[in-house]
Amino acid sequence: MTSLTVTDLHKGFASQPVLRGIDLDVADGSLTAILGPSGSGKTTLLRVLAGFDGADRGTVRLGDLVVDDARHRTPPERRHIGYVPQEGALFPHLRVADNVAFGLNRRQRRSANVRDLLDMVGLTGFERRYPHQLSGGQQQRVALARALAIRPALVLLDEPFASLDVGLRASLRTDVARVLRDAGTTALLVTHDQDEALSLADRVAVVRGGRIAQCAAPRELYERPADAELASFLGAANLVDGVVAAHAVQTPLGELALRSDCLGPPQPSPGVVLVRPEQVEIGSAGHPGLAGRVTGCEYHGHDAIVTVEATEPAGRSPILVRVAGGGHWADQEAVTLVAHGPVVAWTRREADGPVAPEPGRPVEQPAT
Amino acid sequence: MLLWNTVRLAVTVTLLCAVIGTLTAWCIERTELPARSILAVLVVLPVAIPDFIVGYGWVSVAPSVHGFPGAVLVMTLALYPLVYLPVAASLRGADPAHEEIARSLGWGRLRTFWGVSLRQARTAILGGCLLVALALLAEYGAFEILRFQTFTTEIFTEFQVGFDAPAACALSLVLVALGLVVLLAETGAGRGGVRTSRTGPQVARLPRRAPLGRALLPTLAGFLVLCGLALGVPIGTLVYWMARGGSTTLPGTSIVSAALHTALYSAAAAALATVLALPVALVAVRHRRPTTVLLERSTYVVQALPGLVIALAFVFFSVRYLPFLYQSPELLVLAYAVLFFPLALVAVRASVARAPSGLEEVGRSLGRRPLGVLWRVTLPLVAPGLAAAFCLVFLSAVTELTATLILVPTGVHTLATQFWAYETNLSYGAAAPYAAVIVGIAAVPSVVLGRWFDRMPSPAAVVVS
Repeated sequence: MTSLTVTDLHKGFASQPVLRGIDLDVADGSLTAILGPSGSGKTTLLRVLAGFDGADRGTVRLGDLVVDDARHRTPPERRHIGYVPQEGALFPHLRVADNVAFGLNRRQRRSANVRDLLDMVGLTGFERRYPHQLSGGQQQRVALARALAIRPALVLLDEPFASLDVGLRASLRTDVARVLRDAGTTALLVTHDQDEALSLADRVAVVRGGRIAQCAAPRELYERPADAELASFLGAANLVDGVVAAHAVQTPLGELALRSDCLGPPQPSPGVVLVRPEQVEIGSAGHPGLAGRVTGCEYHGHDAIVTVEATEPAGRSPILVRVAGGGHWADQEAVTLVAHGPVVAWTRREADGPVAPEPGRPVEQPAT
Repeated sequence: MLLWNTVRLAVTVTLLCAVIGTLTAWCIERTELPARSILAVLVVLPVAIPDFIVGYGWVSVAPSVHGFPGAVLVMTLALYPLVYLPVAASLRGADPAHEEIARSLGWGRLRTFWGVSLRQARTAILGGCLLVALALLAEYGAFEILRFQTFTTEIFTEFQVGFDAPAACALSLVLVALGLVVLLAETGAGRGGVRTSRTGPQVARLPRRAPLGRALLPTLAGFLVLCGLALGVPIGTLVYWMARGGSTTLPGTSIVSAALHTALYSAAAAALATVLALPVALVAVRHRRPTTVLLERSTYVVQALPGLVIALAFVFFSVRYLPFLYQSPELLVLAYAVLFFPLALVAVRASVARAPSGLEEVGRSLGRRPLGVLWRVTLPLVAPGLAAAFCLVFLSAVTELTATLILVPTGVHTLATQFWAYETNLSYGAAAPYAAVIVGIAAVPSVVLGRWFDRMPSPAAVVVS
């Protein structure tokens, strides 16, 4: 069963279109991340769903109920959608307990509800504090408890971790995911942080140009993006020219198998191949493979990204290689590269087209 | 002659107030001046003393203070806090990072002060100057005491002595035009100005204070002289005349009833203006459309209208169309509320703008209807602004003289009218207790307001925006 269905949603401000036909299904009890760069319309989408803004076109359905069809709009207070804004937005004049109980009527408040909710978010005993006496992370926990207090059909989280520092962010987001799953609540999380989206969500919807470019499980999104642009948006990516055949592609990095759920064209034709940096293996000069020269190394501790420029032909965009443990490659050292499949590839519309990757179609739909 | 008098006075006093107000604000907010917290209170206090009492204070001890120089002296001392308050608030709210960056880019101390600090405070300075200029155009009592003729005193004379409505109206029109010119000049100069902005959620650090070094003693002396002239003289004279009060008629119970009337009318007007300002502020901030912006702006035009003109308008209107209202307490309260509505709006608007609309949205999403959200979220959040608006209007109404003289109900005496009656008879001693009570009553909301300004980070709060 789906708890949220968005169809062809349009929304603009002062004739500047922001959302241009969003289609989105969110399954009951799932956690879906809306991922997109700043200014891509993520927050606008959330505000339309919550009912703070109206749609220009399209429909928003909660279960079987149409809450917005661009003509009639259910006001936010009748939607039963929990909302956790960016900075928590706790009511500064109310204590923690009163903040959490804000949406409850008198009878609901008397039950031990509030304490249970605070226990659930790990803030036992904070009832009498005021928001300004809490840290940023604690405020977000209270905001989550407040949103869950009304037993919402859907919870919207608008970049709830963006204002926290890195360490706190990681621990809080696993906690939040756990709380949401324990409560069995359907949740929509807006974020611009790929790690957050990939590690937390059951499904990730990437927003691009006011539309959903792809909505899939994190693994599928990373390994089998719908087009080349998505591939480079999500994680580091090498987009390599190659000749695509039915089951394999010919690239400068060697012949690579196509993923088993992809089928290439019957006739070999030129295309673009996605090779993730962890699929490339670097070796010292003299080994078989693509000869090149190290031009840079980005050290991350647990691994490193080494940049290699191919010697022949010159001018090709450099290739990124992920090396576990940090690597020991010196600048300008001569190396060879070999890649390992399986990979995803897209055919080019025109064989003689420019080298720049053009958003094309995936080679073939997965066999269903 | 009238025009020349009015304009040269407005220009001279406004400039002097700008310099004194800005310098004192900078010294208190940005230097290591000793006893800053006490000085900060002393510097603001003159705002609680009505201009006509300052004038009375000077004239009753030094009759040589009169004419143009006297008017400049008295009005500067009475009005400079109107520049000090917004500039101090703006300096306090300004991000010291900008000044630090300027220094790190090789700007010297003076250049940074001119190019960065003053620039940040520019809107506040202009806003303060606007208030000073408008107050000067509207002032009646002090000029009458100082025997200095301006448009306002002339209009009053025409109305009171000659009861010459057409002449008073014609002169009023010129005065209104002058007020509008000032208002437009301010909007022109203030627009396109610096948008002080902060990026990122961090809180601004406290600015580092400059050591005064050898300038310490002269600065302290300057503050002492300023406070002595602006506070010491008026209060000293009040005390002096009160001490000699035995020689004149004792006010007795009439002062109690006058004080009660003043407090009652002022509180009623303050409540009315505050209640009326809330919906205007909510609409202007939350539903920003050309029509609502126009509505908000139009109320500020009232600020350019001297109290005298508004009072005369009320008189003519009520005499002609609503005779039963003429000289009724309701009309006086209504006139106060209209007269000081812009003040209430500024205070309420600032706190509405500071209450994040996100909170109201969260309230809605938690299942509360709009009215419930207004009651449970918005009102508690803007409560300090409402209190400030009430205090501001109350303070202004207590110290109001011109409109009160014209509209006061027959047979009723307020503190201001009683003071004026004695003062015009040159019975300085008999007038003193009334002035003292006015200052006493006005001091209470002044202290509350001072606190409120301390917590306002936004320099735009006091500026017509």
